[in-house]
Parts: sequence; C-alpha cells; structure tokens
Amino acid sequence: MIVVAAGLVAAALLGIVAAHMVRPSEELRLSAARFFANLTGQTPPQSRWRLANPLTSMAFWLRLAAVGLALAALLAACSSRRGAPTQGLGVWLVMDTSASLTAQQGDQARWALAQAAADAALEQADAARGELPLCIRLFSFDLVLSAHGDALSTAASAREAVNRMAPRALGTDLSVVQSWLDTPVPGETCPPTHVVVISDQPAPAWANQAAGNPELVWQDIAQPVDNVGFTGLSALRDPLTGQVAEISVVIQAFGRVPNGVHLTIRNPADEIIADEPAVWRADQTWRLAFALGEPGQYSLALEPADAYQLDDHAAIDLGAATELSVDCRLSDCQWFAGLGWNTTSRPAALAVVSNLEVPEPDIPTLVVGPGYELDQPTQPIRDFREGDPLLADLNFDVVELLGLPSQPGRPDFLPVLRGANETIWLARRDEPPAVMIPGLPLTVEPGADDSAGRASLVIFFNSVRWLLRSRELPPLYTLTSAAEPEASGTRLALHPGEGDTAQAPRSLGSLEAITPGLTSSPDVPVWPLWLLAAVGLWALERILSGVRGDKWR
Amino acid sequence: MPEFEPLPLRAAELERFRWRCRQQLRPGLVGSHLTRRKGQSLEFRELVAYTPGDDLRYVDWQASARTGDEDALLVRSFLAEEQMTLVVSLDTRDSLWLPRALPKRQVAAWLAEAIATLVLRGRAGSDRVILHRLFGASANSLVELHGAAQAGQVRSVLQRLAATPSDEVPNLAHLIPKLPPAAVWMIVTDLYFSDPGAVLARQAAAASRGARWVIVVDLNSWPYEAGLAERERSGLIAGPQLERPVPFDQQVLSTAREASTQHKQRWLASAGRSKADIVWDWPVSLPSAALGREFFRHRFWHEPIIQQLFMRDA
Repeated sequence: MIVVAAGLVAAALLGIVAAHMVRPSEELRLSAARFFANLTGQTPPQSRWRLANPLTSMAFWLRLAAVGLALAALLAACSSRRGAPTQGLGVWLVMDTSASLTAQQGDQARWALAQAAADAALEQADAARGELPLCIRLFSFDLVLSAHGDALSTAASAREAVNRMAPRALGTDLSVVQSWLDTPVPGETCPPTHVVVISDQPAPAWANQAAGNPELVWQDIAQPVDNVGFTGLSALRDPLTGQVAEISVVIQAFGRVPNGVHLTIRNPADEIIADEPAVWRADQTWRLAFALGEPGQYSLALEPADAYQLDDHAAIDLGAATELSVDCRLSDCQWFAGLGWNTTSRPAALAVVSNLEVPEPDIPTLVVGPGYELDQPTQPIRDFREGDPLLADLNFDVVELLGLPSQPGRPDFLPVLRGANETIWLARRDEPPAVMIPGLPLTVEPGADDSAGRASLVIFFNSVRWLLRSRELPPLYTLTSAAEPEASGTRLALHPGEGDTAQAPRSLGSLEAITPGLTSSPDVPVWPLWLLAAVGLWALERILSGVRGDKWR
Repeated sequence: MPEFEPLPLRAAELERFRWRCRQQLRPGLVGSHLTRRKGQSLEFRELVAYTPGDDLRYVDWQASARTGDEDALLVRSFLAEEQMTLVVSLDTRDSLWLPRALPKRQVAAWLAEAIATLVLRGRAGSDRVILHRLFGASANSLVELHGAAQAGQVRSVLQRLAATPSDEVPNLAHLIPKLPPAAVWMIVTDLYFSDPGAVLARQAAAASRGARWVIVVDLNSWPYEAGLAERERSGLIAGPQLERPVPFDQQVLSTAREASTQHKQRWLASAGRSKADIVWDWPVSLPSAALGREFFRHRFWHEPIIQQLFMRDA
C-alpha cells in the first residue's frame, strides 16, 4: 500500500513538473488575422519544452496541493481510518450459548454461572466508568455469532438483556469468534475498549495474541465434571439397496469412567430390545454394534443420567427396506430380475443400456458390451488404471482368459482397463456417471471353480457400486443447526466436543482489567472533505488561469 | 458565451453627459432629426402666416385681428408626433471577440447601451431605439425598444443578439424599411468584414442620401494587437478567417497592417466616405480590465459625434 501510494505521489509530482516545463502555446490570436493569409515570416523552430523553476509559480503549488489532496482522499477512501480517540469505556460482552452450557456443575447449571460472570463484568464496568461514557454491546456465539440489539448505555439494561438469553442445543465454533475479533466493524457506534468472552470453553491459544486493543478478557466459568455421552452413530448399509444392516455406536466417557453405565435400546413399539452394560476400552470409549430389523424410529438411552444430558439420548430412523430399481433397456432383462432388482418401477436408480444413444438417460448408466467369449485365446492386458474402484478385488490373470470384447472408445470416457492394441475393455465417466463393462456376468456354478464367472461378477458389481456411490440415502439422524436449534426426534445435539465437560478451565485476563481507556470514535470518513478541498483548489486554480490567461503558469 | 459586463457609466453620469450636450448648439443641420418638427399633435408650437392650403380650422382669428392687417391671417401650428429613431447596428463576427484583454464586442455593447439608454430616457419619452445584429441570420436580428420603461432591457437584448453566430453577409433586409428619414443609423464595427458585392456600403451610402444620419464607428484594436505581436517578436498568428496559424515577423506585421488599412479605406470609399465618423483606437497596452473600462469612459465622454446627437438645435 505504501509503495503504491509513494508511486502515485511521485507520478503526480513528475506530471505537474512536466506540465510546467511545457512551453506555452506561442500562437497569438489577432482579430485582424485574416490579413495575414498568404503572408509568411521567418520563425525559428522551438522545443516544446523549456526549463522552468516550478517553485516560484503559484499555479504549481496550487496544482500540487489539489493533486496531493485528491491522492490523500483516494488513499483515505481505500483504508479504514478511525476518528480521534476519546476516553471512555466500551464493553462488548460475548456469551457462549452452546449446548454444554446446560451442563450441571455442582448444584448450578453452567448457564447460571455464565450469567453471574456477566453480572460481575457489568458491575465492574459500571463501577469503573466514573463520570466517563459507557457503552455495552451484547453478542452470543455457538455455531454462529449473533449481535443482540444496539449499544446499551447502562449495566442494568445489559443485565436484563443477558437474562433474556438462553443456551441452545448447538455446538461451539470458536473459529467464528476468532474471525469476528479479527475483522474490524466499520461504522461501529460502540467502539470497544474491552471484549469479555464468557464461556465454558478454555481460552484458546489465539486469544493470547488477540489480547491487546481492545483488551480481550476470557472468562472460563467451567469446572471439570464427568460425563458420558454418545459421540458416534453410524450405519452399515447394503451397498446396492442402501438398507441398514447394522448400527455402530460409540460412547465416550469424559473425566472419570463411571460405574454402572448401561445402554438401553427401544424399538419403534417402545419395547426394550437391548440393555447392555458398558464395556470400556482403554481410551474410555465403549463401542458396540446392533443388527436392527424392522424399519422405524429406535431410541437409545444411556443411564444413569449425568451432568450433561443432551448426549445421553439419541433417536435414529431406519427407513423401510428399499429394492433397487433399474431402468433396463436391454433386450433381455431377466438377469436383473434374478437379482431381485425391480425393472418396472420408476424412478430408477440405475439405467442399463447396450449403447449410449442420444438422449442419454439422466441417471447413472451402465453400458453393457456384447459379452465375454471364453473360447478366445489369452488376451494380455496392455494397461490398467491403478487403484481404480472398478478393478477392486479383480484377478487380472483371470481377466486375460475372459475373452473380453473390444469396446468402442469415447473421448468423454476414461479407460480403466485396456487390452493389446489399446482395445478398451472397461471405462468410466464421472459426469454424468456411466460405466462401460464388457457384458453381463457369466453364470457362476455354485461350488465349482468358476473363476471366470466370479471375475465377471466382480466387474459387474464394482461398476454398479461405483455408479450408485453418490445416491442419496435417508440419514439415521440429523444435527441441530442455527436454523433449527431445538433437539427433537431424530434431530440430535451430538455436536463434536460438546460433551467434553471435563476439560481443564483456562481463563485469560480478569474482570478488574475493565477500566476506562482510549476508545476510537466511530469511523468518520475524512476523504470527502479532502476531495472537496482538492476540488476547491482546482477550481481556484482554473479561475485564476481564466483571469490571468497565458501569464498563469 | 461570456456575458457583457455592466456599463462603466452610472445613470447619473449619463444624465450629466446629456445635460452637458444640451448646453451646446448643434452646428449645421446635421442631426436635426432629433429635434421637434411641426406636425399635427395637440401641443401648440407657434403662430405662422397663413398660406394657401392650410386648414382654416386652425386660423387664430383673435391673434390675426391683433395684427391690424385685415389680409394677414395667423395659423396655429403644432408639434409633430413623429418618433425619433436611433438604429444601432452591431457587428458581432468572431473578430469582434478579440482582443481578449478588451474585446471589441464588449466596447460595442457598452457604446450601444449608453446611447440607447440616453435616447430611451430622453425628455420626450417616445423615441425609439432599434438594436440590430449586422451579420448572421436575419431572423430575430432586430429588436425595437420604446420609452424609458424599456431602457433597462438594452443589455439583455444586446446579449441575445450577440449570441447568434455571424457570418460575413450583411443582414439588412429587415432593417432598411425601419429606417425613416431623419433616423440615425450607427454602424459599430471593426470594418474587417468582406461585404461581398458591397451591399452594406451601398446601403449606407443610400441611407445618407435619404436624409438619414449614418455614423460609422470603427473599433480599431490594431494598435494593441500589434503591440502584443511586437513584444513577442516572432511566433504564430492565428485568428478568425485564417485557416492555419502563420509565422510572423516585423515585415509580416507591417504588410498586414497596410492590408487592413487599405481594406477599411476601400469599404469606406464604396460607402461614399473618406473616413469613419468615429475611430476608437485601442491603447497599445492594457494591463488590467479596469483600464479597459476607463478607456471606454474616456472615449465616450469626449466623442464629439456622440455629443452632437444630444445637442440643441441652433
């Protein structure tokens, strides 16, 4: 910025000096000019430039001042300038309203402790202000940071506003606080001398660097309390149908591992179908898996209740079993019916065609080649795409015996497996998703050593799984969000880290530091004034130029 | 377009000028058009001897009886109601915008405003002034003003007339019918126009022959402009009617001066004159605008032809 400003100033200075060294026009306008037609005299050639000392010219100084002010206005407009600092106290109170503030700590909720800390901060500000002006702004943060109303001028009104706040079933994102503190707020009517964060999270490392102007005071009101809660719920699904086959649960103990913890699972009919005692691992986790049968909503509960209860309960939804629907455009679709896939219902999740004709299906498409010819001699593999999911678990020795047919190459497809002479055996396309396979799987004889048939099946199912990889399946549960902050049904408050109520507290600064200081007044843009002055000087220079004519240089 | 500056003569000064002129008797018959003539108004003028053809209703029988001569009849005569007419034709071509220190068009406007104001605010109050743009389109080239009430409009009318671009062709079609006998026609110009076919010169000559008083005012800025050029010594000359700037030296200046003088004399000769009635030569140097105003005041105050306009008849 400084380099650019210096460059602009230097260029302007050079331009003005050059303008003064330009020889003024020597043309003399006479009313009797018509009588000079056809007359020519001798006049020596003259340079356009002349030596001139600009320092003795009022015009030079006026122009220099005008250009200087215009440049200053430009630079001022590009940077944020604050007005003159004044003595006062501006307190920004930032309350943590994440779900962990509902935790019990001794005989009090953490939220009550946070409110008490806010009271103390406001009391300190009120006592320290003396006769000086005080302004207070309230903010809260969990997953997002929100401002609560305009600036307040009394501690009492701020206290009432804090009492209207409440924790929400949301996680804690300290990065939003960090980025907010790092971003100046233009036009702020309550410039802060102190930012007081009241949270149950320990002061992060970046807060040390943030402490300055304004001064950051981080009040961690938490004391470690033990807690057990769900930290992971995941489903093992059928890769083709998406049907949930098994539920995996991870439970974590924060602080000391308690005794007597057990998990009860209730089915959609609210009947207890499992009641498991905790088996803790060394990392204080308890992992278990369940195979759940009928679809519907299951509830999971940890008992006995502990300090933080929002992670003691969970509900998951097992959707009804779905069958894979296929839009089969082959002449014979019996093979798919044999797999139990539905070839008639729509919308389909997969299209199967023998040729990609325009218009193509608008769903993932399997392009099936003419089929395998086992009686062909061995066909060596020329090259393949290493690690490609279409080739997972595929035996390349067997592939060379399959009699793979050559597929027509397409520029939008990525070859995955090629034979001699660069014949394409297997290829895929990311968008829109499509896979070219040699043919439908060969018939596998149960019990026989039918490696060719198994290889053809691997190719087929690898391709189908890859095509269906991005299919959207109904989730087991959702997390609360800023838009929907209430935990209800399968909308859970299992935000990462929120159940860790056993962290060692760490505060930064103290409330006694809230004393009056220098506060920047609200941003007052000065560039319009500078620009106005530049225009005024320029107009004055032009007026003088008009009055004095050619003598004005 | 620059506005004309206010007249550098106050109203009281104009009246003092008129009063001073009225103290003098006009030499000869020139300018008699501004005196009262006999006519048929209701304002009695004098008793004159009856001559055949006089209206018997105006015979003053009592006055005739007092003469003691039975054959002598006296008839009452009355002031005429004829309007006195002053026409000021302004040259507004581009050359009149120069020199920049004191444009000829500004001096022309001051002169027109001063004389027109004096006429319109005269004792009769019914004289008329016609302001006329000498060159350019004939539409809206004439404005008639009557009486003291319209004296305040003179400058704005002049401004409006000067706003129309002018060429080299005199614009007289509408003017000539407005020139009654005994009118004053003042042509204010720098005489640099070409006047193709000597149209203007012939009309001026014809007007003079028709008992109009034609006053040619030559605004001659050559002394000042030549002084500028001589101080520069060399360089380029530019200006109206010159396609491209030309270099000059002392020889060129001298030749051009001779050419301009001959040009003026040729036109004056074709108008039946040996010289212009009024020649105002610009000073060689005009270091300030105030000096330009003083130049006008001095020339106006001491210009004998202008004084004659307002003298009493002999």
